[in-house]
Order: sequence, then structure tokens, then C-alpha cells
Amino acid sequence: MSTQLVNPIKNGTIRKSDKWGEGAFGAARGSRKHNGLDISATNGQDILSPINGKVTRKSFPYANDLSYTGIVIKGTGVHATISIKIFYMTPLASVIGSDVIAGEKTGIAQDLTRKYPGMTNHIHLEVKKNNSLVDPKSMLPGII
Amino acid sequence: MKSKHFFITLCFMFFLTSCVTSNMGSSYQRLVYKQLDKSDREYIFPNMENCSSLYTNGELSILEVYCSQGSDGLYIFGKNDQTRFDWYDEKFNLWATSEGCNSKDACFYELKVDKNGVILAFAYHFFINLSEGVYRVRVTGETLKIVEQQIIDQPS
Repeated sequence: MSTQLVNPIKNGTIRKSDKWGEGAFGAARGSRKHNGLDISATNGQDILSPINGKVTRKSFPYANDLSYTGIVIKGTGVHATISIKIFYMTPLASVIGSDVIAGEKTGIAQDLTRKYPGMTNHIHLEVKKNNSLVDPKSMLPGII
Repeated sequence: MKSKHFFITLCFMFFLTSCVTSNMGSSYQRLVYKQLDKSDREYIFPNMENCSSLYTNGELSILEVYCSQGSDGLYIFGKNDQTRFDWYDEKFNLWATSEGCNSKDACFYELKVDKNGVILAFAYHFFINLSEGVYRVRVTGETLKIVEQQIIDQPS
């Protein structure tokens, strides 16, 4: 049986197309492809850990705008081959450096519309398995 | 009149030749990421292999060291010498080294080297998390000066 993830947004769905693009893994991003999966989230909504693991550090998606943040989680146990980045969330101070279990609250969603007016608010979920990027959707049963 | 035209043409040709030859004396080398291994002894500082990134092309290499110690910075290895530089943009450099490139070919350097092997400048191209861009930096002695910076924040 393949490893599964917990949806980091309770009942969260994949971001549909808006004027900035769509949320699917591999969707067009100018000359590049989207490295992750965008899951719609309201500002302040709880973000859950998709895996059992350790939150190794706070992460910053942008070089020039450190107001947007995220976390890096290294999997343990059944998720030992997996590492995860989640962007556009404010982590709980207590989770940085701590072990978490799948489904545990790790922070809250940020307001992306401040930077990108008209964009569907969301979090960005990036998953590596054995150090290779994978489509998170393939590990999130039932997400639409 | 004819001799005046000839003189102007001659001056113009001399000017063009000067421009071309001044660039001919230098070349660009692309340095790509290389996983540090035991064969890279000259680059590995004790206990720093987990906080260093090496970019290399033949005899030219750049080592980023980010171990939160006094030795942090950029090391440029030429054909015959090695020079340590302080970060050219500390805030950016610390962000880049702590986040890491999106893939092994997502970041690379281009070194401008003169015919004597002296490193004149470099460009650092990067794609890290959701930001991509380039820094162009002039190398003068033991100092680095940013001459151009382009960073684009890509929406997820």
C-alpha cells in the first residue's frame, strides 16, 4: 500500500483556476512548472501536518518578502522517505524543532491576496519522496 | 576630403578593434553544482561538509560556506589561488543557503576570467523556493561589488 498524506486543510480542495493560474502540480508558471499543489484555505485557517515527522525549520518562500513563511517537515516512521514544504502559513512557535504527528495543527494560513489581489487564497504543498518531487495529489486520497 | 574620410574610417576601425580585443581577453565559465565527496579534499573544511555547497568547472570552483562560524562566505578557487570573500548580500546569501536550491541544476555561477586566469566577475543564477533571478557581481581584489540584481517572486 502506498504512503498516504493527511490533507493539511480539513476538507481542503485543489485551488481552481484564477487570474494567476491554477493549483495543480505541473501547472504552467511562466517558463516553469508548478512544483507543488495549491490547496485552497481561508486566511487564519488551521494547517495540519500531512505526515508524522519533525518540523526542522521555518522556511521563507521569497527572497525579498520575508512576511510570507512556511515550514519544512522531515518524515519519520512510515513517512521516513518523505519531506515536505508548506508555504503561505504562519507556523506555531512551538512546532519549530518539534516532532508532529499527521493531522496535528502546525500553524495558520496567511493572506495571499495582499500580495496577489484576485488570487484564491491557498497554501502551497511541496512533497519529495526519496529526494524527488512528487505530485502530492497522488498521495492525498479523495482530494478534488 | 577623401583623406579626411579615410582618417575617420581608420579611427572608427581602431575603436571597434579595441572594443573587440578588450573582450577577447576574457571568457565566461559556467560552474555547476557538485555534490561534495572525499575526492574534494581541497574544498572540505573540517566538519563543514554539511554546510558547504560546491560549484565547479575544471580548475575553477566556488564554495559557499554557511556554517554560522567565522569562516562563512564565498571561496573562489582559481587555477593557482584561493580567495575568501564576505557575502555580497548577507541577507540574500543567508536566505539562499538556508533554503537551498530547488534542484541541483536550479542554481549555477558564471565566472568571467581574463586570459591570465584572474577572476573579474561572476553571475549567480538561482531558482529557490518561489523566487528566481540573478546577481551580477564584480570581483576586485578581495572585495565583491553587486553591479546588478534581479529577483522575481513567483506566485505559487
